[in-house]
Amino acid sequence: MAAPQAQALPLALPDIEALVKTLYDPGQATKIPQTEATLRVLQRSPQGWEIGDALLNSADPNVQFFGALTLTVKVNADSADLNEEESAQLLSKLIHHLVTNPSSATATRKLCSTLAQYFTKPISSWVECIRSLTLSFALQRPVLDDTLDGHPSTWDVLPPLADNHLLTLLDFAMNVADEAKKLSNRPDQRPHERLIANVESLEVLLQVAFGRGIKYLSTPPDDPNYERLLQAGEKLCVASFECFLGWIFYAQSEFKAVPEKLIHLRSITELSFSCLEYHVDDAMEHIATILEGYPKFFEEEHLYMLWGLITSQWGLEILKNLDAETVSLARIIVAYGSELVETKKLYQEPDNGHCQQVSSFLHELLKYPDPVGVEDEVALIALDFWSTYTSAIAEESFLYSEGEHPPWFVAARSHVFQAISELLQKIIYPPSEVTKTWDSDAKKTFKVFRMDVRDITMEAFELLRNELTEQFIDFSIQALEVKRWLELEAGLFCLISVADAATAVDDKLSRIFERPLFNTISDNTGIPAVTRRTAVDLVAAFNHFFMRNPHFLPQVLPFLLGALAQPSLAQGAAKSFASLCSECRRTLTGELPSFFQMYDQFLTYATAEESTKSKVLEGIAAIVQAESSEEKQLAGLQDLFQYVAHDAMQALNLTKDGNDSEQGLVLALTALKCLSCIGKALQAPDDGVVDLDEVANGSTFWTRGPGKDIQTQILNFITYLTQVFPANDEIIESACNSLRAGFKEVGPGPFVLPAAAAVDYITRTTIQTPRLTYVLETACCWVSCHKGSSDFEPQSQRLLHYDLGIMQALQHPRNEPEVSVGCIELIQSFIKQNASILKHEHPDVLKGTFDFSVECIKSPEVLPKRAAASLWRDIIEKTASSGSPDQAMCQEIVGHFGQAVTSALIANISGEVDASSLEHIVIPLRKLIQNDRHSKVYISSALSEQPLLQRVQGEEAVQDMIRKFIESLMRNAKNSTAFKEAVKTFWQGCKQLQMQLAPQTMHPGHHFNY
Amino acid sequence: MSLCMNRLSEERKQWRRDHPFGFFAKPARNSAGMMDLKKWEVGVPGKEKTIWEGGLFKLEVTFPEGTYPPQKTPLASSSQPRLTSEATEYPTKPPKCKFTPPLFHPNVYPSGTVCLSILNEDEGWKPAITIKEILLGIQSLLDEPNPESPAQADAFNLFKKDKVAYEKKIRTIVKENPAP
Repeated sequence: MAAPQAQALPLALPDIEALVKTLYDPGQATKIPQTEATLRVLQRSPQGWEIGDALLNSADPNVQFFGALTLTVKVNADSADLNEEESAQLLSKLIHHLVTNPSSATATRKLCSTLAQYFTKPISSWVECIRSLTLSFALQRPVLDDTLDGHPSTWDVLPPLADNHLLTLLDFAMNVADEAKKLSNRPDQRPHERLIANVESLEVLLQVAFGRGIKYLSTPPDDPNYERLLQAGEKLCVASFECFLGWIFYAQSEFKAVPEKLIHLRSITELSFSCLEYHVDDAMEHIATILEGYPKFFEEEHLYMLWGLITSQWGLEILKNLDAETVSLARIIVAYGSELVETKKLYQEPDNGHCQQVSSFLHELLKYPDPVGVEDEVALIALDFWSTYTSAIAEESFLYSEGEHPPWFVAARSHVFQAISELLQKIIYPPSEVTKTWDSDAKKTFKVFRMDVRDITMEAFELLRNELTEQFIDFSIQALEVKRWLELEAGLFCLISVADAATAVDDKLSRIFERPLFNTISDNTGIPAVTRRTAVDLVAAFNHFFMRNPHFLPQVLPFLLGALAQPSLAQGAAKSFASLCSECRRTLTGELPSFFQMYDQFLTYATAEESTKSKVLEGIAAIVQAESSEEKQLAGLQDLFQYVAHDAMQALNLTKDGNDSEQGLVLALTALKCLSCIGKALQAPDDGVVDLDEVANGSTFWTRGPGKDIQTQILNFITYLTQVFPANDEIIESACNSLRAGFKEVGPGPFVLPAAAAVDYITRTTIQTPRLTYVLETACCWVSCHKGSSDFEPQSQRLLHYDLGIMQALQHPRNEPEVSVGCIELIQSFIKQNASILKHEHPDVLKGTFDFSVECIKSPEVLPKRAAASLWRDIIEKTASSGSPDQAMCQEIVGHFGQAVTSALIANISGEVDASSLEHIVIPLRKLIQNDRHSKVYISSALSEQPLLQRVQGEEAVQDMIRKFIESLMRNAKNSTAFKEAVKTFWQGCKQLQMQLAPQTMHPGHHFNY
Repeated sequence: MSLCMNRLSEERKQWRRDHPFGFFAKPARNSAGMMDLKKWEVGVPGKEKTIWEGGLFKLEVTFPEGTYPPQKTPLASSSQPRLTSEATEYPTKPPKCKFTPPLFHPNVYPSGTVCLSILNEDEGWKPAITIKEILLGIQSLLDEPNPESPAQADAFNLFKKDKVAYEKKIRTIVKENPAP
């Protein structure tokens, strides 16, 4: 056959057939991989065509299938090599096998797909494939395009064909549409032109096949062949529908140039609808798919016809019982409704009876009483519709100003309101007897549904505003009164979803919070956990409401402290407690004694651990901060510190005796975490009144007065605990946080420690200290917060020497790149705040410091490189800040290190740096050229030292590149974009040089994002 | 509507229609309560079966606005090709994603900005990338930090030097940012 050259087969045919059979032989499993490999080679060999052809002649269905498969493989891989004649021969052979041979359904199906794939290949010139195949079946021999004219019309040839021939034709027609659809967006339009030429034949095929199928399905039950015909009818209708669907979506993408051809597909629509009443498999799903994906396929009359069916006895029956068919029908209704939303009809024509009916059906879909997910899947689909609807109305409403809405808006709004009320019913948790039986998927479905409802509610709020809030409040109050706790939960859940957006509703919210909502939940142990949890969430969501209305807090805060007992609620409750106390501190000072009592109670719960304790103490400490006098604050702090001291002492005891150092560590962490949280709470609130007199006079209450003990205690906690647990990262972090708590305070306070205190701690840390990066960050904060302190200079010097000590211990930035970043940033803080303090340093200290920064620029590590580049930007910038006391110092630094820094920057630009760090390197270089008259000398000298460039010194082109680079740097220093471009061009040039010269010595490419 | 605004409102629709479980994404409101499509508030949950599970991390996503090059004389515009802002706006350029507050993570800058190749204009950004894909990308990044692109020294250092301490720290962060 179509083999280009007749060559001997590598294996005799009977042997190949035997091999194929072993593939399907259950006893030969171990040999399968080997056999498959052999057969694969045979398939791809030049003789593959012949082998496929020959195998198709076998009587064994498996062998036939393999033959068809072989031809598929060949068509896809090797058909481009065929000439015109071979191509025609191949087509003829394929048709021959399809119409005469296969007894097995699988081989037939495979042949259909092979033929379909052949049709779409460039070597194919087959045009009227459907008519051609129809005639071939009728005549039981291949009939190709060139002889079609002499035969009767397809209308005459198709009806007499047997059912299985019709099925094969449908299968082929579906395949060819699917195959051609894969070619969309390709420039070659020929396959589409050939295929579209078949649409009239396809119309005949579908008319005949659907017609016959429906005829079979309408066989009266007393017919002796009733069962058989019913099955055959179902089969024909299913295949026809699949084929129809394939062509509709093919038409959607490829009929754009020939919209008039759609009529040949649309003429089938009515027949396809008839499948619904006969409950043909997947018919509803297919119609939903078309409505969802290509709603414009249906014309208005078809849509009305479809709606007629939905509202007929057939549709109503399906809607009555909630089962799988209901889900499919719901999909159709939802797609139908969505299309009406798309055309705006559904909401812009509220008086249209049809639209009213559609809307009411869509509301009904939300009213099945069964729980969502497990039993009711319809609500999930209907939710989609109401989401679309709500968004559409919300978007429309943006177009109008308040009070100028069109007349239809009122009705649309009330549909949204109704849908939300229906959804509210659907999100009520079923009783625990039901939820207990749910598996994790069911739980998740329900949860996702609730989240989606929350999203729609938020959207609906745009339209309904406080009407909606009130609805939720009323619903919740009602549920509270009749003690329906799960309904209460749903109401509160919805209320939470509008919490962020609801404004000016305090009076309405007060209606619910004036009731003993929280007390009831606290006192009633029978209330479901989920209701309790939602109530805790409610407090968090309405934080601001309670801040504005602190008179509710005496009810809310004890509720939260009570909720702390429950492990699943403890974290959330503690967090809300802390934030409410912090925000409403001034109104709560009277509650302090009772809070301390409740804290004692809380300590007996198993949930009292680091994070909950620290949060609750943070809340109480905030109230202490609001006390009217330092003496009262001191009293509160003494109480608070007892708790901290208790944990700290126990930590030390447990560890000292070696009893339980693990528990000791836990308690030490707790103590320090509590300490740092108390410190945070004691910061003066942003809105607090700063007593300028007090600031000016500098009260010494905490540093030298009665409060001094507190400061001593703070330092003792930090000192002892960090000494006992020097290797724990969290201990270090909490210690730093405790110290940092007072840094930014304007006035004096218990955590506003002497400037030396933090420096004492920082300078005790070493290269071995964990989270040294965080300690160095703390040092940077210290520098920026203490520059006004009288002790600034001597303490800064200590920090500077400490910094140098760390750098010396590191030796090279590469050893600890991130710590190096901290070291560099600390120097940068000095430069930023007060560079002049460097003036008194020994030259060796300065040399060590700045040499390290130059090493950082040279190092391939990105973070130190960027940090050092940023440091030098600041230094060079300050050389130009006339009048600043730092100017001279920075000029001196650049005078000493200008050449070294320039060399390091230029080394980067000469191809060393990665692409994303390049822009960081550019900045100091540009600043240097703008501000330093020696810059050109530095740059020229740096370039002449670059090993890469030295290697190609003799090349004129390279010298030219260097010269141009220097010139464009100098010329473009004032234009950031052009400057960057100049650097980038040179950098790319160097990268290319690197590749040309020594690919093996190239720096391993560092690839970074930013 | 500009290309950018069109795309954003389409993204918003798509998101509402279908978004992964536990995520949220919505345009932010300005102080007057008006929606700003160019700035979104989003939440990315930690992936199941990772140390990040149970956490929800909030970010601010800012879509770059087009900047029109200044036109020197309004009269000249008719003779010149019309300048568009499309080259400098989303989706030609990627959005900026910033954790609020900044997150302790090796690939998150101290400012909170996420360092991820698909968000880098010169690297993996393609205008076809959707908000959903971005957020899924960020979710994956949480548990799979990229050691090749450190963005903050503190988290990167702990991640490199002490995995146990790093994981413990992450668990604390998860606890402080619980998913609802």
